Formats: sequence, C-alpha cells, structure tokens
Amino acid sequence: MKELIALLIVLIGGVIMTLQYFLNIPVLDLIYKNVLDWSIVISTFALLLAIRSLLARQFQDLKFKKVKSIFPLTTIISFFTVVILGLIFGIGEKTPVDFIYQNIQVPLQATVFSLLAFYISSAAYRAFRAKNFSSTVLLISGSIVIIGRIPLGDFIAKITTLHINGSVISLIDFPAWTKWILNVPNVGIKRAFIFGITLGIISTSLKVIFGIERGWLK
Amino acid sequence: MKIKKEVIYFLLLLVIILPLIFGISFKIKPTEPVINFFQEINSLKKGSFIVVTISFDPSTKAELLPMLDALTYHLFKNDIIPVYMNPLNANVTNLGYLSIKKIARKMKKKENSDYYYLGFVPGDKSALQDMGEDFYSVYKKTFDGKDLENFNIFKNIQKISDFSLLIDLADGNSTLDLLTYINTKYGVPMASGVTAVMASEYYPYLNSGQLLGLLGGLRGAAEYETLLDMSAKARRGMSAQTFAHILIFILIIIGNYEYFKGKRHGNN
Repeated sequence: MKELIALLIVLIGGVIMTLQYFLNIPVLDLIYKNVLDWSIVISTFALLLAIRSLLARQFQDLKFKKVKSIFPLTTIISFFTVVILGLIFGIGEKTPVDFIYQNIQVPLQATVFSLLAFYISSAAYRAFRAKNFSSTVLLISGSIVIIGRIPLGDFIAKITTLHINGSVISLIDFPAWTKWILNVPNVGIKRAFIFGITLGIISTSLKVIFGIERGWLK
Repeated sequence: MKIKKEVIYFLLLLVIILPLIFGISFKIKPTEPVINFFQEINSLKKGSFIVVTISFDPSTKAELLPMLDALTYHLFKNDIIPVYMNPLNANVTNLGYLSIKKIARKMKKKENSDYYYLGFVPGDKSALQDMGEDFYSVYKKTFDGKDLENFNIFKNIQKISDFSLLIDLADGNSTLDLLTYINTKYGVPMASGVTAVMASEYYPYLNSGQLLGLLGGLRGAAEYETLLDMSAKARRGMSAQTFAHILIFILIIIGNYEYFKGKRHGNN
C-alpha cells in the first residue's frame, strides 16, 4: 500500500509538472508555483540536515578517535566560531566573519586550487604522449589550444602572414586553428553528448513517472 | 634523462612569478565571443536593469574576479543598473560584494540606486525557477536589509524576464542551470563568463545563440579589459599564464622526445 501511494504521488506530480511546461492552464501554474515554494523550504531544511550530519560525523570521529583529533576539532571550532560571530556581528563588510573569510578562507581556497597548475605541468610532461592515434590527436589539438590561447599564438600568426593577390593568409595561425577546434569538433561532440544525456534523462524520468523504474523506492 | 618533478615545479614557479614582478604585458587580440559580450553590453540603453549572478568560489577568483571587476566597470561606465546576486553559491557573497563596492566607490556609484546586491538565498534550481514566476518570492530585501518594494526601479519588475539581460560568472554548472531554467523557459537574453577549462562546454550554446557572448578564463577577462582599454588584473595575469603555457608546451615536447627515444632503444 505504501509503495502504491508513493508511486501515485510520483505519477500525478510528474504528469502535472510535465503538462504545466507545455500548457497554459492557470491551475497547473499555481500548483507549479506552490511546488517551487515547497522545494525552497525543503532545501532550507536540507541545509540544517547537512549541518547535523557534518557535526555528528565530526563528534563521532572525535569520540572514537578514527582520525587525529586535530581534524574534527578544527572543523567543529571553525564551524561554531563562524556561526556565533555571524549571528552576533552579521556578515557584512568589516565584521569578524568578513575578516575570517577574506584572510583565511579566500587565501586557503585560492592556494589549494592554484596547486593544480603544478600537478598539470608535471602531468603534461609525464603523461601527455603520442602513444597511439587517439592520444596523438589529443596531443596535437591540446598543444594547438595551449599556444592559440596566449598572445604568442597571435604573434606567430602575425609574423607568418603573407599577402598574396590582395588576400591575407597566415601560415601558422594557432588562434584560427584553436577557433576551428572549439567551434567544429568540440561543438559537434558536445552536442552529441548533450542529446544523448537529455534522451537518457527523458527516458529515465518517464520510467520513474510510470513506475517502471522503482529503484528509488528501496 | 628524466626531468625531476621538483625541477618542473621550480621552473613553473619562476615563469609565473618573474613576469608578474617585472610587469611584462602583451597585446591581447579580442576574440569573437568576447567582442559579442562587449557589444551586447554596449547595446543596452542607459538605465537598463540587468541581473548579474555571481556563481564562483574563492578558489577560482584568479580567473573570475577580474571578469567581475571589468564587467562592473563597464556597466557603471555605461550607466547600466546591475542587480547582483548569488543564488547558486553562498560562498562568494563577501568576495563579490566587496569587490563591487570598491569599484563603485572609485566610480562614485551608490549602492541601492546605481546598483543593487541581493546576496544568497537557499533553494538552488527551485529558486531560479521561482524567480521566473515571481521574483519577490525569492528575493524581498537587498543584502544590506532594505526592502526591494521601497525602490521605484523594482516597481516594473515582477519576474526575472522583466530584466534586460542576465549575465552569469561561474565556475560550476550554474550557466547550464540558468540556460535551462531561465533563458529557455522565460526567454531572458543571457551571456556568461566561465573558467578556461569550462569554456569549451559552452560553445554549443554560443553557436545556437542561447549565449550572446562568452568570456573564457583569464584570457577572456584580459580580452574584455583590452576592449575597455584598461590594464588591470587579467592583463597582468596573462603574462604569467603565457609563460606557463609555453613551459608546459616545451615540457610536452621534451616528454615526447624522451618517449620516442626510449621506444627506439626498447625502454618503453
């Protein structure tokens, strides 16, 4: 019985949501608007659930000493410090939360992400090799884009420009080749992906709406 | 002989730091997606009311903050009124808000009259869709707590489709979400600025005309600064990026040379 009710809710909800997109019926619009309001409220509570889950995990780690105590302690202290300071002083300009954000969070996040450049350069040297046809195509197109996206590409195109019978031709034009790679093969492949994924989403959604796919009930 | 990774790291550090120390700069040639973005802003009438969604983390600020700065400068210069918000990313509020305030102070623009900042609301994609039906069911106040209904300019706004343009600056999937839920469904014209690695993802939308313009990474921001005839963070950063790209290109060549040499000697 429970399963049947859940399936009916999904069927009715799914059909209404699909119809409201294509038909201009005020009642359907009203239902759609209400559902949107609900989902905003639910996602707000989901934040609370996420906080509870995060803290529960950290306290568990602290209690059972699964990891070094310093890590859960740092998370718990940071969490409560930011929340309490935010509630007392607000989060605007020149508040303690703003100070923490600008001087701890921003530099930390920016630094961690910047380290990627070092790994990429090392990986490019070690792994970016013409081992077979596919990797050679990737290597050539990647190298063209690397040079085509920097001013050196423009410079090379400029010094290799020839004027023949009034027309201007550049012999080594990395920016133009980059443009072609991005606009032709890239767009074609991406479109194929998008269509494939979209068709997959539609078929899965229909399966869920009509109760063919019931994995989500378990 | 293989190059040790410590040597690669050190070389990369040098090619990034030295151009920044010596202030080396290059001429940047703007590309079509950036020119289209720039012209789209120029085509807006004075006093146009547009939305700018800031959807990036501090982790990508090196690429996207210069974009936000250049865009804000351009909008203020053209007397366009932007409504900034970050409904898809709570983590950027202070970063974006302070950066905009700094430029506004320089250009003598007043908050809540020449520009508005609405901040974050929970709800993710539902909040976006809700803005398409009723803007005030999502945002009622500005970030500094003023009621939107007190501002005359908001009297003409009921839904997000009442804004002239939507611009998203993103390091995640937000541009795709906005294209799906706002551009396609409510017909709001849209342009976007994204990180370099994400730019190729959005070329199909650029070609289909769903995106009117696209700024891709630091290069996109530097091209935008060139069009604005200004030399700020992005153009300075492009010198470091240029040398880093050249180093990576050289490393790829050396790596392949070693690979083929080793293969000839039966080592690979």
